[in-house]
Amino acid sequence: MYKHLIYIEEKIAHHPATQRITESLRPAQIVYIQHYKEVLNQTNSHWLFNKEYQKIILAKRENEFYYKGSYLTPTFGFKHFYYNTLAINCLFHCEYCYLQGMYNTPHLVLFLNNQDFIQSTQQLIHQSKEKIYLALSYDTDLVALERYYPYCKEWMWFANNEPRLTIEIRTKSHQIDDIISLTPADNIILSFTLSPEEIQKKYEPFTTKLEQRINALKKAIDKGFRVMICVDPLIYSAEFQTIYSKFLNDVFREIAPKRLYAASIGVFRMNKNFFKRIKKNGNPSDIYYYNYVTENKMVSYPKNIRREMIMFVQNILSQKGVKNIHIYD
Amino acid sequence: MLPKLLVFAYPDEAQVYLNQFPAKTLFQLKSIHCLINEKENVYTLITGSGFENVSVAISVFFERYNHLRENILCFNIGIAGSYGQPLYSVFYTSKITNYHTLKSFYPDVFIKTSMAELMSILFPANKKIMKHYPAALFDMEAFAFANTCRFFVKNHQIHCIKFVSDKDGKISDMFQLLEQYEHKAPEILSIIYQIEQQVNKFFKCNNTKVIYDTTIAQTFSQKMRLTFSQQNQLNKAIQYYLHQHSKDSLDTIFQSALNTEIKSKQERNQVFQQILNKLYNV
Repeated sequence: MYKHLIYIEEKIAHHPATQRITESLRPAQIVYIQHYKEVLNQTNSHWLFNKEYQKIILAKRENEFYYKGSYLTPTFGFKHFYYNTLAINCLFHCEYCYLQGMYNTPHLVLFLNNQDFIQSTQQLIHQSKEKIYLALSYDTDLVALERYYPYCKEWMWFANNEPRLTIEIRTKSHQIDDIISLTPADNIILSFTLSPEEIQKKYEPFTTKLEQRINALKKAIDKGFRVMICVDPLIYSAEFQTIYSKFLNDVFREIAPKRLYAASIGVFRMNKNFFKRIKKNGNPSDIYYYNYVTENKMVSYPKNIRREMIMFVQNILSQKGVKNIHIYD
Repeated sequence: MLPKLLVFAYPDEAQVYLNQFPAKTLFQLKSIHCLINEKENVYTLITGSGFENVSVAISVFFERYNHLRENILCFNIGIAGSYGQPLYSVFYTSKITNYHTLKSFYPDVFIKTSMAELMSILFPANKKIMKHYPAALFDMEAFAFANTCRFFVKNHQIHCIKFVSDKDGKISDMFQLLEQYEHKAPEILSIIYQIEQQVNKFFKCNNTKVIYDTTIAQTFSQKMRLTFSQQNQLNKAIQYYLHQHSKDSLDTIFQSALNTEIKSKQERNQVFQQILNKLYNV
């Protein structure tokens, strides 16, 4: 993260959160912009170079405060599955992440009008008669951004008063002390993405270690939160079975499976245009050299490998006694 | 040492750098003058003032030296007016805006130095105009420089460094101005070196592309008479394999296949598929 300079949209310049963030970051240079897309969507950028010097853009979202869930994400049995975008891009740099192909630059956009998102969601809940599942920001790691803006806290306060809304906060961060100090509720799900140590070291270099994530997860369960583990994406290798069976044994040595609310499994998959763009951007990871197949505009492993991986992990989870297993295949 | 292109509007602006990097003429075309210092790999381009001159000069340069596009760093250096910024100070530009269209170019900023926003205008800005944007610098080339460079190089290769020459569009003492400008050259050069260092560092650290000896793959391709598409598939699979395994184990995979006698296309395709499966650990 390059904190010497930050971009601020003129319309959000006097927002209290803007003042708070600029006071804490103390950038030497503030560049005022009309719209965050001027910087985020600037063409001709070297994505990986800019990731090294990622900057923060403080912005105000004008519309589209929630979206219908993508066909690439599991819906967890909810008929009304939504997600929102409270921030764009991520502090972490996971090599398999679709964000590398989604935007022209990796700069981190923080929408500071969180209350507008909340109000808009409130209207959606009142219009709908059924339960709603809302994934908070799949396009970032919100928990890791809590130090800049208390997104999770504000949404958890909101969810506490909206029983028809279930929110999911998904993270690879272990810094959850602040958010688990709030009152737990059945409609707040904390999801932890877990990967084997080998995968974490190789493909998720800036994220916290598996051990730290497990500790965070345990703390959340102890505080009474509903916790889901996401073994997603599964990454194929010759030693796949050895790696994942050891990994799941390690996880369940620390956590009693029955204490988990759910588990979600999915293999590596990506929109084919994002995949092409990431390759074009020059990502040197071996992930982008595999012999994938493209089905329904989605790049993933061949069907037999997908099935083998899913079955293998699903069987272990079932044997361990995990109840709700959601699969994306 | 990365190649550097220093772009100036006037010979007077370039002179101090030509003293630093003694150069010989590469080409001269009307008001465009291009020089090179081969030892330091520095190209100096004097364009003449205004949007059109700078655009034409840069286009001509890259038409002639297209091979430099990959890693050349381009700098627009020169004087600029500013109502509010201290006279004779140096700024790296963090935003370059066309005064007339208000379209902006945001350079990839990755160094720590004094920064300011810059407005590029088609005519010399007067006090009234400058007063309206007191913190901004005003020049007549930077936007065209950045916009033209973008056709040829990536954004992180485009930079603009300006020296504040006046507060109201009027230069009272040209002799003093040139003296101060010369005096600030080391500061400007230090910014250039910082940029070069950072770019170099990044590309050295991230040059992880696997380079492999293709002999065995070529022998295999020839013996099996692989199609063009199969050759591409094979290269991709080798890249994948070498990210995870040693070169020696790669040779072993091919050795066994090379000893196989192939009598038909069908057999060839079978052997090829087996090789792919091995490379992808299937």
